[in-house]
Amino acid sequence: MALLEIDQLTKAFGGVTALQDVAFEVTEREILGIIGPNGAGKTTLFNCITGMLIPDRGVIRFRGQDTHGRKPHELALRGIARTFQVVRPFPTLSLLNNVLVASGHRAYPSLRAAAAPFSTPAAREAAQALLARVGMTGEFDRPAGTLPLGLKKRLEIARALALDPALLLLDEPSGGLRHEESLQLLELIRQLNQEGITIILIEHNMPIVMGVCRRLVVLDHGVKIAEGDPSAIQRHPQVIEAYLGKAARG
Amino acid sequence: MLFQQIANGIATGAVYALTTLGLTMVYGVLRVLHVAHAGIYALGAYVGLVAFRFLESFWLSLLVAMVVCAAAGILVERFLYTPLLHLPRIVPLIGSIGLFIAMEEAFRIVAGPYALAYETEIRFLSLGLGPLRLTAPQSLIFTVTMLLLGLLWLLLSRSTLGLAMRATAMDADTTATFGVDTRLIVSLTFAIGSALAGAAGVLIGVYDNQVWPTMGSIPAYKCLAIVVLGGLGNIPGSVLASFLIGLAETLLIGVVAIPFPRDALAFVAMILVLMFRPRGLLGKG
Amino acid sequence: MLSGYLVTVLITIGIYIILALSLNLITGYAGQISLGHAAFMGIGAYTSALFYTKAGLGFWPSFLLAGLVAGLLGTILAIPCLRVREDFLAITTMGINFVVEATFLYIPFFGAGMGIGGIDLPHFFGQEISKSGYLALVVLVIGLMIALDRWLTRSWIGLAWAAIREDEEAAGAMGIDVVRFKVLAFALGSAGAGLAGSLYAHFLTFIMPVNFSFAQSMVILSMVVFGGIGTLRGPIVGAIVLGALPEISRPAMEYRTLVYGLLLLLLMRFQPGGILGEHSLLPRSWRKLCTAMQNGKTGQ
Repeated sequence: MALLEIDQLTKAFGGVTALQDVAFEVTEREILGIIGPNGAGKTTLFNCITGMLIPDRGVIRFRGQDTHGRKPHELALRGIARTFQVVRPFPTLSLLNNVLVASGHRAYPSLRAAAAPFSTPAAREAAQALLARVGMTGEFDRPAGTLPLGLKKRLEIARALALDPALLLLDEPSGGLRHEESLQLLELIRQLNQEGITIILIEHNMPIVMGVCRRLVVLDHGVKIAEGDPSAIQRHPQVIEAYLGKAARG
Repeated sequence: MLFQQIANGIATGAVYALTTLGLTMVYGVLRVLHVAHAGIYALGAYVGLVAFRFLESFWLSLLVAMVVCAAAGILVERFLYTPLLHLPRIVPLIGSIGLFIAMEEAFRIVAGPYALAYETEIRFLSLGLGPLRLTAPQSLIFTVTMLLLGLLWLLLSRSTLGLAMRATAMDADTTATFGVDTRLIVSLTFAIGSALAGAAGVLIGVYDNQVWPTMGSIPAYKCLAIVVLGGLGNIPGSVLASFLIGLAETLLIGVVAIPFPRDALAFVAMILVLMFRPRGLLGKG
Repeated sequence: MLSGYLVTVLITIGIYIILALSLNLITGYAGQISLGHAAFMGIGAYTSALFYTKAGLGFWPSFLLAGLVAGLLGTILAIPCLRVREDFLAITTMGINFVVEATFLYIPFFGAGMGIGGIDLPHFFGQEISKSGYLALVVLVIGLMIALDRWLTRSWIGLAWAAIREDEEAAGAMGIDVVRFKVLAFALGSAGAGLAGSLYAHFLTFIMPVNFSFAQSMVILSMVVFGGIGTLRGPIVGAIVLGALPEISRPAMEYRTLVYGLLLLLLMRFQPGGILGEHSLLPRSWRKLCTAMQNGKTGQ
C-alpha cells in the first residue's frame, strides 16, 4: 500500500519552476532514493511534503489523506519527520534537550500535558537511548552548537526518530561525513527501515544510494526524468545526460 | 488652508525621507535597528548651529554638520554594531537605545536643557505650483532633500561604489568573494546615511528656528515605523512612506482634525499595513 | 521598622521585578522581542483603576480582572505580531505601545490627559493596609511569578519556547504548534504585566498615560537584558540594580540618565549576556572560584 502519493506536484519561485508535475508513490516500508543534480528541486520536494512550502498545484497524500494546508507541526504529529540539508540543531540547547524537544510531540497538543515537567527520568532515558542509537556517546549536556558537523547530522536523525515517525525524510545525511561514518550511517538506515520506518533519502553519495535504495526517483530541473531500480537508473540515457551534461558544462 | 497644509506635509515628508533613508540604508547592510540614528540627527542640528555661528554661512554649516555626522556614524558602526553582529538582534538594539539616551543627555549637559535659537535669515526662492506655495524655508528643505536624494540615486545606480553598496546589502558574504572590501562598504554606508541624518537635523533646526536636546526622541521611533512601513531596507519604499506619513499627518490631523495624536499615526499606519503586507509597502515576499 | 521612603523604593523595585519577570517569559524564553510591555502594564493599571473607581469593585476583584484583561488583550494584540518576525515584530510591539498610550491619552473615558485618580490602597478586614503590608503583597506576587517561572521552564511549554527561540522552522518540524505557543507566551507575559500595573495603580493612587509610555517599556526591557535575559536571576537582579540606580545616584542627579544610557551601551558592548547571563564574566568567575576552592579542599 502506498504510504505517500504525490501527483502533479508543481512549485515555482517567482517564475523559476522548482518542481513541475512531479508524481510518484512511496510504498510502506521501502527506502526510496531521490537523486539529481544540484538545483533539481529535491529539497523543495521535501519542503512541500513536510508542509513548510505550499505547492502551487498538485496533491500530496499521506496515508490516503490530502495534506494540503496542513502545517508542518501537524504533519510531524502524523508521523512525517525530517532532517535538514544544512543542519539545524537548536544550538544553545543541550544534545539531550534537542532530542527531548521532539519527544514532546505527545505533550504539545494538550496544554495540560505540556505543562508537565519534561525532564523526567523516563524521557531522559528514552532520549539517551536514541542518541546512543545513532552512535553518539559522551556528554549529552553540552550545547548542540558546539558539535562537529558529523555529530550534528547524527543528532538530527536522533531528533527525527524521537517523533516516532512512519516516514523519515533524510536530506543528504552523508554530506560532510568521512567514509567509515557513511558506512555506519548506511547500516543505521537499513536497521531503521527493518524496524518499519519508511525512508525517503536525498543523497549525492552514490555508494550509499545504490547500497540501500531499491528504487530511485531522478529529478532534473524540477522534472522527474526517471524512476526505477538502481541498475536500470544507472543505464538510463536521460540520467546520464543530466549528470554528465552538467559535468561537461560545469 | 488646504494648500498650506499640503505644503507643510511635503516639507515634513522631505525631512522624514532624509532621516529614514539613512536608517534604511544602515538596516540594509547590517540588519540593525539603529535607534541612535536620531541621536546623530540631533548632533547634526547642534553642529550645524555652532558652525553657523562661526562661519555665518548656511551652506558651509550644512556641509560641516554632514561631515561630522558621517564621522560619528562610522564610529558607531565600528565600535558598537560590527562587534555585536553575531549576537541576537536584541543586543545591538539595546546598545543602540543606550547610546541614544546617552547622546540626548550629553546634549542637555553640554548645551543646556533649553532650546537654542537657530537664527538664520534664509534668503531662498519660494517655490510654487499653481495654488500650492511653499514658504522659503519649506522650499529650502524640499530643494536640499531633492538634491541629496538625487545625488544618492546617482551614486547607488550609476557608480561602482553604489553597485558594491547594493550588492553588500543583498548578500555581504557573496559580495566579499568578488574582492569587495565589504567592511569598508558598510562603513561608507553608515557615513552616507549619517550625513543625511545630519542634514535633516540642520534643516529641521532652521525650519523650527531652534535646536533642543530631545529633538531626536520622536524621530528615533517614528522613523523606524516609517522604515518598516516602506519595507525594511527598501530605499524607494522609505521615501514613499515618508511622504505618505508626512502628508497624512498634516492632512488628517491639520485639516480633517481627527482626534488622534500626530505621532502615533505612523504606527497605526504601519500596523494596518503589516496586517496585509507583513513585509511593508514595497517589501518583497 | 523600615522607613517610609525605603518601603516606597522597595515597592517600586518589587513592581519592576514582576514586570521584568513577565517580559522575560515573552522575550527571554520564547525569544519574541517585545518593545511594548508597558502597554500591558497600562492596560492592567487602567482596568484596575476603572473597576475600582467607576464600577465600585474592591481591590481584589479589580486586581484579578487587571491580570485577566491584560492577558486577553495580550492574546488579541499578539495576532498582528504573529504575522511578522524579528525586527518587524520589534517595531510592531513598539507601535502597539504608542497606540495604547494614545488611546488612554485621547479618549475621555480613560480620563484623557488628566489620568485617573482616587485609586486607594487595598483594604484588609475593613482597614487600609499599611505600606509595609502592601510591600508584603508585592513580595507575594513576586514569589508567585518565580514559581510560575520555575514551573514553566521545567515543562514541555518551556522547552517548546526554547526551540521556537532558537529556530522557529525546525521547532515546527518537531511537532510544535509555533503560533499557539507564541500566543501563550504573550498571554502569560501580558497577564503578569497587568497584575503589576494594578499594583502600581493602587500604590500611586493616581495614573496617567505617560506612566505607560514606550520609555517605560524600554526601562523594563533594559532590566531584563541588563541582568541576563532568559534566566530567572537576571531580570530580578536587573530590576533591583536599575530600579535602585535613580535612588542611589540622587546626589549625582544631573548625570544619572547619562550614566543609565552609558551603562546599557557598555554592558551590551562588553557583556552582551547581561551581568548574570550564562556565559557572562561574573557567573563564570564565580564558578571558577567554586571549582578552585573545591580542588583546594580535595588537594589537602
